[in-house]
Amino acid sequence: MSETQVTWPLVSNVIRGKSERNTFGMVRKFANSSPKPHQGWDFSAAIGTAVYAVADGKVEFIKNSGDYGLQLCMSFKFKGATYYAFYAHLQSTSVTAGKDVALNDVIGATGNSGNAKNLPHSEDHLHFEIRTKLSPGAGLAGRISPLKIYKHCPLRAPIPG
Amino acid sequence: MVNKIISGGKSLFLCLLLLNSTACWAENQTAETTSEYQVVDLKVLQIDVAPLGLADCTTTVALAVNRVLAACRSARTDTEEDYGLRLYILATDGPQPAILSSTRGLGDAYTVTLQLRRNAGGTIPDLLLADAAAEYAYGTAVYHLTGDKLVYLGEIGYVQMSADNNPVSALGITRIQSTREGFKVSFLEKVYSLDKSGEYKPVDARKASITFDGKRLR
Repeated sequence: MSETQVTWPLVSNVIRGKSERNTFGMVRKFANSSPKPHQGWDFSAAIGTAVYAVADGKVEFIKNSGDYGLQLCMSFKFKGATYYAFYAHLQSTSVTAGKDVALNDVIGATGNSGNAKNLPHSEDHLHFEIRTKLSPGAGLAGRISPLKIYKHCPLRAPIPG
Repeated sequence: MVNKIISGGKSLFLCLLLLNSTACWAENQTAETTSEYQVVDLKVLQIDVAPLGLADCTTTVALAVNRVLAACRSARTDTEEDYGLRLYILATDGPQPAILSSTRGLGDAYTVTLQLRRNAGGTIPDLLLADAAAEYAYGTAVYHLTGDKLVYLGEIGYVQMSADNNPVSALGITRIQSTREGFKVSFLEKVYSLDKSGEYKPVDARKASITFDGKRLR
């Protein structure tokens, strides 16, 4: 895998609801306002929106299970380290595990699989994580803020991919 | 006394008045002497909640005659601090359903699974457990169901871990027993708790109990 340029996963990338609660960290709330982690960024996306490989890399796994629903994880190199871009709540994938992908290849489409099916359609989104391990721990373990890769969080206005 | 679990501790003297004499004996027990809550089956219902301004319900179940429990959203009542799925008790004996009471929002949870546990002889006979999740299980909000109201008591933050390291509901291994002041929550297997850094740590089942002392769940 060569050192690669990194781009965004969607044509238009903006944080769902323009809310900090959909960014990375202990930003979520449960009953009585107890904080909970959010493991990545949620990008607003109508169901069926094309999803792109964020870099040259390799599809590590695709699976459909649990609260994440249909998931795709691809590895890529960035500044000498290996990272994993993790896409969840997908509707479909158009690549297979083990295959190489190139920057900006279409790899699937957004959906509301897993627990996202319980959200209103106005909240349809792509759940996107940057992982430092192929099999991270629970919560924030084995993940970093995508801000460390992208240097800017599209919280208020969309960024083109 | 049938369900009473006896553990060591101070003595309580129980007396029986028999004819003209009194027989007394000592029984060992602690404040945690309990009987167990049992899960109550709730029948799933279909009900049109749109006229009430509710939408995106994840659960609607029959709670009692002419009473429905629903977990739904309402954009009308959301604020920056109080938002998300709420639990509603609805009356269905009129020409249209009516909201009798509602809880605070469950925040960023995408879905909630409801379970009613009952111990008719308990200090708090009916507990409603709202098990919530987004990309992973958040834990369980606990309410006292009293009349047509739900009183929030606190949160059971413990979860189980799936084979692929994702927090999942611990309801299936959660045991609740009455105490003199309230109830005690314990677990049949190892559970995990969230630390302030956002990571989960394993907790031995023997150390993971939570108690409601009549004031707080902790």
